[in-house]
Amino acid sequence: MTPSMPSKVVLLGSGALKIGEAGEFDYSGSQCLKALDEEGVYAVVVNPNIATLQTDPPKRGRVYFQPLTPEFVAPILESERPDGLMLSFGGQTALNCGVQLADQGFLRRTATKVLGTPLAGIRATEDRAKFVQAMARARVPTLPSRAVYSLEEASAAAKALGFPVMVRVAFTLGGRGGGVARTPEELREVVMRGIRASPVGQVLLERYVGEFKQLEYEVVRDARGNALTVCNMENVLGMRVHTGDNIVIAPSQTLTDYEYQMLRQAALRAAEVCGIVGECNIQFCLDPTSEEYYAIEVNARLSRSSALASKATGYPLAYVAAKLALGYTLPELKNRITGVTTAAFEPALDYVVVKLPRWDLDKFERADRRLGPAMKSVGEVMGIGASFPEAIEKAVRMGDPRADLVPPETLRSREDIVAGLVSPTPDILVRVLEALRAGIPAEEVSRLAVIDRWFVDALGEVVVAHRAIADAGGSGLSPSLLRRAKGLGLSDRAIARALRILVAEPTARQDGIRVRFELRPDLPPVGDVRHGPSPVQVSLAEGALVWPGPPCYRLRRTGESRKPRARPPRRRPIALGQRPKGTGRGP
Amino acid sequence: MARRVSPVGPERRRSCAGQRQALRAEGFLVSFGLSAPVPKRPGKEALRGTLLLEDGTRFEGEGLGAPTRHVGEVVFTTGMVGYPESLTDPSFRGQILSFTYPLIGNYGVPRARARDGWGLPVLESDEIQVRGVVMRGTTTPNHWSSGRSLEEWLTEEGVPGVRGVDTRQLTQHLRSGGVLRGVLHVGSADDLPSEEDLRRSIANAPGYADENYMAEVAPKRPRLLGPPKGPIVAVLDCGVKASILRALLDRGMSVLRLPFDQTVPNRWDGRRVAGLLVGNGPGDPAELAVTVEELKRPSTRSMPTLGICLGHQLLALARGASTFKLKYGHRGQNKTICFADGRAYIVSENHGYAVDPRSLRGTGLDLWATNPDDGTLEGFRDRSGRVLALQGHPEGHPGPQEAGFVFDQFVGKVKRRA
Repeated sequence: MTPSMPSKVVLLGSGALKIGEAGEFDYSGSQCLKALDEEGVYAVVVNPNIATLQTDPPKRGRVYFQPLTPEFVAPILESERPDGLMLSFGGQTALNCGVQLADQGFLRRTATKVLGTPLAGIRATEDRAKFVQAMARARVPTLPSRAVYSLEEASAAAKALGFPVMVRVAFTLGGRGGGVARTPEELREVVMRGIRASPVGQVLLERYVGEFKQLEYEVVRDARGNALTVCNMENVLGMRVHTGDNIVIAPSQTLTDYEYQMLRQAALRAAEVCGIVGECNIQFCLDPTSEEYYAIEVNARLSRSSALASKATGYPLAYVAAKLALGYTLPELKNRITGVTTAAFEPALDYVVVKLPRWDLDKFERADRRLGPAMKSVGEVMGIGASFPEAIEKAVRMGDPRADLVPPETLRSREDIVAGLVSPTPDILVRVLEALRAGIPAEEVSRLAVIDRWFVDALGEVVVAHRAIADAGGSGLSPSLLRRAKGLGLSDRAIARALRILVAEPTARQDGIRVRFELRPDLPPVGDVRHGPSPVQVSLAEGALVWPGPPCYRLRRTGESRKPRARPPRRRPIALGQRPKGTGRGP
Repeated sequence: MARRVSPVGPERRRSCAGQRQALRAEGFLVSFGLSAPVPKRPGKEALRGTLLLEDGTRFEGEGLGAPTRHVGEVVFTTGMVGYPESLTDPSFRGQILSFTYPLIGNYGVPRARARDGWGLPVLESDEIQVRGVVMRGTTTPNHWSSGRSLEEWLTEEGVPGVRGVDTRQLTQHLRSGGVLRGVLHVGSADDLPSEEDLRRSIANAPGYADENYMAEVAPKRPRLLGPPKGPIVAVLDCGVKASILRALLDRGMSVLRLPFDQTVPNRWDGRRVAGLLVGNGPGDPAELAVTVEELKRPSTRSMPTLGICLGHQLLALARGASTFKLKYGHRGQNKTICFADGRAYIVSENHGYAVDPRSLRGTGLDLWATNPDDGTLEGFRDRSGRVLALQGHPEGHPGPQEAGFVFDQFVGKVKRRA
């Protein structure tokens, strides 16, 4: 217990859900409340969203269903007189509200203390000019850029930087209003839209690096300066597509140790310069042909990436961030997942995690389906596997239970497929697999789709296995081929489709395959009705963890393992989740 | 004949063998009502890899690299990147290394004999040091810095490897029972070795602590590296990683690489030797009596000294402390060390032995850092301020480098003395 433990804290939520969010702030706010509750802190929640756990009647605390704007939050702070204010658990909405309250001098006037990352640090991450200065102090390179307030300034800056230029908008959520401008006409459109979208009328023009790799690090840091990176993530679609709309894999796959550590150290220096206390997310771009890299942005708050990092590693990011904001240091905290190690620990994974977004753009007429720097997705799913194909296969099936990674054969023309690669839409994964099936070389697919060759090669393996199954037919399908297919994450249904076994009832079909191929001896029993072998109880990160921990998640796992499935010790209830968030449905 | 087509453990293998045999004979073919031939086994060129542990646990997978048989201590590392650095780390001499991370080889390997500006290998040494590699899976590499694939590298250097092994199970097995010796056999799929044959190989090989690794990893004669002027740091080389030398060279030091059993001179080429570094290396520290004796010598004791990994253990032994063997070692890039002032750092580690913190009493050495997870000693300092020692690797490669301040402190002491 630290001497300055506050007794009452105001927590700003994120308001109503919007496109570009996936309910991650429900997660972060709820975790924060749990941490506050453990410390006996009275929590005052401001959040008008009725569909989140945080606005359930609290055990110890109070909920205000009020908008997250300074006009509404100021009176609450005045009447509640809290010891501290938490800004980093309600996304950009909460952060902006806090910054505005500070700008109006309200926080100083009422002596309201911001817990966690101090305001100066938040400003350094939000204001581009301050950000560039801060990164220079941290010896972290940033992209050459100019902040502009008008179209005239923008035209001059674009001339200096050279087309194409990237237009980014200050203080917005999910890159809203930003975009790539390849011509002066496009520049006019994007800049005008951006200036209107920015609360301070500012947009930023920077060098376009669409062909670079996009990497993220989740940094946790305490007030004493102890810091670590919980997880790094690689965006499969590179810099072209906003991370929220990207296919993301954790940990990174195409980085050498040198590159991984170079960016990791840069992330730690950046967090230090910004004075982060709690959690932050740092995005980098890295040239795929050299060690040239730049910091793109720092988010001094929990984000969608934090939710992914937390679930992918089992490290309770939001909970730990809340405790750090209350004044604890990392070595003082126990890791709640393993119960053995301290929070001053970096998870080592013995699996990979793939996040796949869900868009629902089809629900909107005339929606621009192209993916780019502005986030359009509304939800996401996560697949876990021992390889990229396995993890992405599972993610695809969880996103849409009727889908499989390898799409049914289409009669789409080569030109059509190539066009789909050049300009990514939510169907990009399907297009890549179609291209590989159509025999377009991996090198060309990689170049056209701006996806690292490593990922394309891995997907190519799935296509090859799929074809081998089809060629082998029911009679030639050997256990080794079947095992290879299961290792690549192919579902029983996908194998059935490849074999052209058409059975209406999935269960019957499953049984059919099992009986026909006797999966039983070599593979875990097929228990799941729809998508493959039965779940095996594994604790996340446990295999790679040197200290054993209790199992925490039930993960489905396909294929290769020869360990028989763990039997639960007793009958227990199962809670069924509801799949990713979609348009037309709250969280 | 029930030849196994896929990697399956012994217990399951036994239970399934009969079933599978029946299947192979008629089972799945009959169920289709077809009379296609039984699928062919992989061709002659296909390799099988077999890892047998001394307790009889057997793991099988696809063989790669050199078709040969090596015996060694089986250990695991949890690092997610840096397999080229790990495989060339001389501390792994005599060991068969299993990676817990399931995808290895993603970014290939630098071209052969690649050197840095100091003439040192870009990796940690000139060759693969491990006796064998155990992996869950390998991938097709793609990286601008890659000169060849992991598979090609293993073949060129005559090192056997196996993939398709359930490394999570292997890790859990080693973690619960402690490290074991084992044999890794890679050979034709048509000619699988018998368990007895493999057991004999283990029985005939010397134990991990009984081998003389220094002949293989230590230099034969002294060599001076770095700028022609400025302070010289002597390095008692028991198989030191190139990155430790680079950390000194990059801080403006000249480095005098000495064989592990040499006397540390006070002068070299007319220049003063102002500091001493004892680095990492393989084997049981208690077996390196020569180096321990040298560290006890008064003129050596008076130098500013930095110990890393094995060097940390040797310095402790020279002052009368004791070492012991850990159950399964610390090998990974995510090890936490907590310093006495409450600061925590993440460091890279690779050690199977550790210094007993209780044995520091009465040695004049003060506890500096500990591992919060199992309470083992991670670092100590001498009361005179001359000696610093860290169990982890502040140079990283692979792994984090934020404990690099230890080099800065050491170099500061050397400069003051020079």
